[in-house]
This record gives sequence, C-alpha cells and structure tokens, in this order.
Amino acid sequence: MMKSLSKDERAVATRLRSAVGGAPAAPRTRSRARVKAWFELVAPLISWGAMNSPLGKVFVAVNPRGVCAVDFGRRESEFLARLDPLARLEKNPRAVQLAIEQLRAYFAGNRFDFSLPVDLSSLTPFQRAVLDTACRIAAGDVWTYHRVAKELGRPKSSRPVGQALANNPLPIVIPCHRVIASDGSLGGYSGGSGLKAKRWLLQLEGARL
Amino acid sequence: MTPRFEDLIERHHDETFAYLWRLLGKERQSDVALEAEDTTQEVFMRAFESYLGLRRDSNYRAWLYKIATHCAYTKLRQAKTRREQSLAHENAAAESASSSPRESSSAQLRKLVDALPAKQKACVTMRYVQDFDYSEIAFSAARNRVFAPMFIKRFGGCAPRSRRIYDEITFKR
Repeated sequence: MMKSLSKDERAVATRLRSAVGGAPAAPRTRSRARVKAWFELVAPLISWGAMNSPLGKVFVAVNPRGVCAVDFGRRESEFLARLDPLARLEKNPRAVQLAIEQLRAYFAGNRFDFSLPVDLSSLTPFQRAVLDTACRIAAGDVWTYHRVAKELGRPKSSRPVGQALANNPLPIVIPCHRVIASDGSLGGYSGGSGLKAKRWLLQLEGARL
Repeated sequence: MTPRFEDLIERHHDETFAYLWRLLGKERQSDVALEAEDTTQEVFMRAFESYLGLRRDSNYRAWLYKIATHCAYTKLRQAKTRREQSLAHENAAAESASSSPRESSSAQLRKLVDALPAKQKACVTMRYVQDFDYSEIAFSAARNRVFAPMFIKRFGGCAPRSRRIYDEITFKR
C-alpha cells in the first residue's frame, strides 16, 4: 500500500487512515454474504471434473444445457480460466459422470461416437454449422477442410472452417481431429500436444494416414 | 485472460464496501452501514451486467470504483432530505475547520473529510485511503489525468471552503 504516494502524501494518508478508520466488521461480513448469495442465484453454474487418459488429464465441464467444455493436456487452472468468467464453478465428478464414462469407453476403443447433450450457445451459427458437419464424419474416416467447406455450401471457406475447428470447445466429443489438409498432411490441432495428439486419436480410430 | 467474476467479488468486495461506507457516511449515522450494504450489492449487480463488454487489459479495480462512485453519487442525490442534513453538517464542519487547531483529533479530521463535497471526498478517499494513482482516480471519478489532482485540491463552486478543509487535512493550515 501507499505505493503511488509521495513522502508528504504518505504522512497525510497515515493521518487520514487512522482518522477515518476501517469499515465495521459486522456489516462488512453481512454485505459479503449478501453479495455471494445474490451471485449464487444469478450466475450460471458450471460443474466440472477430470479423468486420466493416455493423452494426459482430460477435463470436462457441464452446465444445465449440457457439456460445454472438454480439454486435455493442460493444467487445471488453464482449463478453468477458459470457462465462462461469469459462471460459478463447482468441482462435481457426479455431474460429469456420463461424459467421463463415454470418454473412458472411447479411450478403451469401445465406442467412437458420443451421445451427450452439448451446449454450443457461445458459438456463432457458422461455427456451429462447421462442428455439426464434423460430427457427420465417421470414425476411421478423414475429410479435408475443403470437403467440410463444400458440405456447408461454401467451398471457398476452407480457412474459416479451419479456424472454427480450432476453436472447438469439445475436442474428441466433436471429432474435429477427423479433418485434415488437402495435401494429406494433418493440418493443425489445438488440443493437448497438438499434432501428436491428433495422430494418436486418428490411429486409435483406425484411420489410414 | 478475463478474471473470473467470482474472484473479483472475493478480491474487491471488502474494499468496495469500505469505500462506499466512507463516501456515504456523514458523521457515521447508524443507517450508513445498511446503505453501504445495499449499494455494494448494486455495484456488483451493475458490474455483472457489463462485465463481458470490458476489455481484457482493463483495470478491473478502477472500473469497480467507477461504478461504486457513480452509485454513491446517485444515492446521495436521491436521498434529498439526507443531503440537506449533510449540507448542515458540512457547514458545521467547515466552521469547526476554521476554528480547529492544527493538531485536530481523529474525530475532527473525520468531520472535515465528511464536510467535503461528494466528488472531492471520493477523490481524496481514493488517493489517501485506497492508494489510487492519479490516472486511476481520473478513470474512476474525475474527467482526466490532468484534472485529478485539481479535483482533490479544489472542486466546484465551493472551492475556497473545500480548499480550506483540504489544507487543514493536509497540515497546510
């Protein structure tokens, strides 16, 4: 404290602070409880949990509408920092149990499609359309960015398609890793360890690269 | 990265409450604490509504103080009766300022601060009690960086009296 004050001002500040004193503790505590109670009422609740996988820790977050975030290969704090800043966070493994079970089955190679309610309301209609299209790619198959753009009726939008896929909030659940570049290279991947993770996922699904 | 609103409450609630308690308090009437509680909640409600529109590199503390200062002004304006009483207090305090000795007691000093006009009181509190620099004060209460020191030293139509009180507070008289 007093970092921005000159020497003369510090003397004034000390004098003033002792004169005006601090706010009384009881109303301050009451006010804090009141603001927190209000926040609990208005802020959307996001429950989250984590599981271990061959690609590192996988984090899953759900809100009342469905799964809203999946991420892996990052630190817990990084994952939480990317969630809606207005939401109230709660670590609740039971709330994410269904998603975790399906992800476990995925990593065990027992299932490659997901049956989960998802919340993509923070995305633009174009981003949602791109991710919907990516969901149509069967496991073991790969499409190019250009093909996804063509399926959307916008054949010249390969680059925006790539950007929309890069911002996929639900990697693995929405299989953006099944989209590769036209020259046969893997293109890009923002999940976990990047292209290494993408290659690993495609191999798990039996895709021929 | 935008900080979580939850963390903002955790980090800044107490100082926001204390700031409002100081701004709204005149002679520390018993209902000031209740009014400060109300206003603190209002500050966070307003902040919640416009939080996502804020730039990521914003000074969140100064922004909260800006909202708090505006809420306090509104409260002071709305409570017309209270304001009239406050004016009476100001006059009384100004009189005591002119007659008080240099080594005023804490109570007299408190009266002097309470006697300042709302905007000047906000600036003085931010500068000396909350440790804001002039650019933060400018953002939260005054119009720009150049005006901020002036707002602290003399303000508005009641400049001579405010200046006298300010000099008293800062040992210059």
